[in-house]
Amino acid sequence: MTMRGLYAYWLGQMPNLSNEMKRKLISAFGTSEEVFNAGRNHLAAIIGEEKADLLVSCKSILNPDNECDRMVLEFRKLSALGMNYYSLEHPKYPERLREIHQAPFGFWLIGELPEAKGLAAAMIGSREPTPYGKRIAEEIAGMLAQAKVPVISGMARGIDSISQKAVLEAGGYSLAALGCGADICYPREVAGLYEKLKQQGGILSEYPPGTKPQPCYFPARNRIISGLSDVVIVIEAGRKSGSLITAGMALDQGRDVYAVPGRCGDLRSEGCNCLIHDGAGIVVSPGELMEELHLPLPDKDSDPRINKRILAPKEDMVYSCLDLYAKSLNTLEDETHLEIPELMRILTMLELEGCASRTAQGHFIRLE
Amino acid sequence: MAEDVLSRGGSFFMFASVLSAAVVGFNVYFVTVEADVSDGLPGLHMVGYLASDVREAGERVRTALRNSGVRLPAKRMIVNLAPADLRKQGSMFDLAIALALSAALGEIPLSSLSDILILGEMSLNGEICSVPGVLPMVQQAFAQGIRTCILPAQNALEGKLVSGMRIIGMPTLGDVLEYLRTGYIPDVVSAPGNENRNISGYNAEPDFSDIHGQSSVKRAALIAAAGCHNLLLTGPPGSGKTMTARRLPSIMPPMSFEESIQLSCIYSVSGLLEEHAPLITARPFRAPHHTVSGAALIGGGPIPKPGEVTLASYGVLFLDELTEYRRSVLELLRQPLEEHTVCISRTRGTFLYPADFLLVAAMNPCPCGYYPDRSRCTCSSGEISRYRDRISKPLLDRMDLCLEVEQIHFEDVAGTFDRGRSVPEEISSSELRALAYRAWQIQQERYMRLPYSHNGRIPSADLPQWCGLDAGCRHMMASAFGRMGLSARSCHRILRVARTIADLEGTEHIHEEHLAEALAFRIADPWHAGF
Repeated sequence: MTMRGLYAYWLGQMPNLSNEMKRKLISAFGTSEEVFNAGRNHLAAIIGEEKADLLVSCKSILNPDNECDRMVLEFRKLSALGMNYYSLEHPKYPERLREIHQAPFGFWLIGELPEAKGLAAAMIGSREPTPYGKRIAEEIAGMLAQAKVPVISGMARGIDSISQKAVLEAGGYSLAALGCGADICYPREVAGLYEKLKQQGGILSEYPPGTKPQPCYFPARNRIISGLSDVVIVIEAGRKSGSLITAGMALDQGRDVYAVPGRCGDLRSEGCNCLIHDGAGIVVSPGELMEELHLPLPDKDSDPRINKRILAPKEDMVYSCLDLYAKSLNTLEDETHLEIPELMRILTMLELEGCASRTAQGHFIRLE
Repeated sequence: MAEDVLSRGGSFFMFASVLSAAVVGFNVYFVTVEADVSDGLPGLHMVGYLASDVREAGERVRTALRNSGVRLPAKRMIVNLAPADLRKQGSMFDLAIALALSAALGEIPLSSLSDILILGEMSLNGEICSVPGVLPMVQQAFAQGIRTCILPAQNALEGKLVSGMRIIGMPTLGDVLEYLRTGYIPDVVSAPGNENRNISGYNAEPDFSDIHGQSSVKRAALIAAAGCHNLLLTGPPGSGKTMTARRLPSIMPPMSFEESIQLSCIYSVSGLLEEHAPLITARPFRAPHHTVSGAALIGGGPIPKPGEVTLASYGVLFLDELTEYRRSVLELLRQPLEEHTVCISRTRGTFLYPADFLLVAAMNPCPCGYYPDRSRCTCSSGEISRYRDRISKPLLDRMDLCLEVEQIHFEDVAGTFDRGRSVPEEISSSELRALAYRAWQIQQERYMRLPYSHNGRIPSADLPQWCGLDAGCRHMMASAFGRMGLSARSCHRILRVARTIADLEGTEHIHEEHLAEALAFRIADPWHAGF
């Protein structure tokens, strides 16, 4: 434990002092320790009388020489739990994040930070994706993981967690930026992902440990997601989606935005289509996205054409009727003109061969 | 069971005993009603661990006897119901008490009451009223070697279901006394014939041809009926889930006579048998409302009354809007779904009731009912998962066939709107029934000497014998186990369903296509699929 970390912790914890003021103090004094030791008048010159008084009065909270000091103990306990505090003065504070407007003064991290060099991508999207969105997200995430690109996201329900899960499954690195304390798993249903991120990636939050999730925290954390990445990939965003806020911030921060198109009239892809209309890059296919980002394409060990060759004629016919948009059994019955028992048999065969998947609603989608 | 008459000092001191019976749960107990008349303080005393409804019988019987022309002397009369350690409850002892007293008073010959089972409730004017549970009691009496029963006239047809038993149905106490004195049976009793007892309930039931389109649902219903598999239908409102469930009994093969008798016994004990058609031949269809309590579903009370699961035996138990049932109530279904019996323990004892039903459950995919049609459904994913979580995983695991019912296409129903246009011919219940019956017969033959008779009831231990898989099927099952996240229980259920599909096709062994179709009917596991 370095003393410097402790002083940064003290300054980071300071209530009623905005991010901006904390940044100003650092740029004036250099380190948090200097801020701690600075006289009232010095401080007042930078942040004003009122805030300077406040800061001086808060000095008593921290007593770095006392081993039993509350804040020293707290800091130690959190470090022991694997939670580290990274402030602007920390050498490992990500450069990308430092550049952005409203960069956080500091953040808590469990796990590792992404590699400073190389491309980093953010993947964001709907909380309630369709099987189509889910499928595309998994594919892109898998390819990014194989290309060793860190994937930043928000661990939210839907596209966020699906992408991060896929990245970790493919052995890649992923970082989650949260709108609550980094020690809190929100939403609860992604607990498995949360635990895996601790081991294989990172969990980051600018809010102190123990902070409960609040709606107002989420747009703020979105700037961190886009800030930490070079490209932002939006999958299935509705017209009022939070993903559009992130995309907007990404554009302000000078990041590239890519959107996965949806069908015209599809409510859940309307936001993505609007982004494309406004000039965002279009994801024609996961492979082409890789090419556009100058990333290596993963070796294709499962060529769909190979699948086609071993499929019996009827299975092939059913397979050709399947789509990335889920289709119901009745629709497939109408399209293939097969009897239900036979159709169900063929669909199960396709499913077992990995050519089709059944959604929770009992609809079927094509797998490549 | 007449005893010797003791004569002392000119007055008669007599003792008589007659045989009656009681049903506790489904167990029949024989009760000997003894009456003794002696000198002493006048009055009627009743002993023998009696519940208050039996104690009241004394007053009823005394009045009924007087109104039937039997004068009660000012003597001390004691009635005992033996065995004394069994708590007697119910009104079925009234007639037996009346006859025991009459015999003790010398109104009827003692010998006339030997080896006769007597059941019936008395009204004050001497009429004999019907009682529940006659069928099992008469059945048990027959097994004990009794060959004559005196029953209320309303229960006579029910009693006659036990062949070989001489049933004397009597409308009034006066008639019974007359019969016991002279052997005369009034005409009214023998009048109602028994010819209608094999009415098939099929004609009255709705038909599958009313359902347009929905071929996958019909297929699932056929498999369910053919092998007695549980069926879960998920779908938007108005997609025909309830219609399908209501039509399911119509395609199930007819009940055997033994099953009919068993079922009639259940309804007899519950007091639900109809007087004129006591033998139930149509398979029951029970659809308890979703506010049903646990006791009403499973059976309950100090001496548990059979619940809906028991009343649905050999038929269909339909739970519409499954998610609206209280979770604690639904969880009670776990044991009957596995063991096909219900075991209820109370302070009075442990009662085992049959519960061999086919469960059909219907539910919406989300609170508003239209998910995944996002143009109509506005439920959040949290709401949807909370809605689905109301059904526990273990319960879902017990559903053999799961199917998502879709909204009916306009083309399928269009014909019904146009005047003069012929509606496309839909498969009817009788056609489906013929298919199911064929598979059913194959099963009957296969399980001839075994305690079960349907694929849905094969115990796990016997699965290898009947549902053995060849190498190809085994490979398919192995890949499905990993890919589809099956549990051991769901594997067994899939094997049973595959067996039924093979039987529907008349093949001896399960082939890959049968297994594939069975796998397609498994639960779409939201935990596993993750969509």
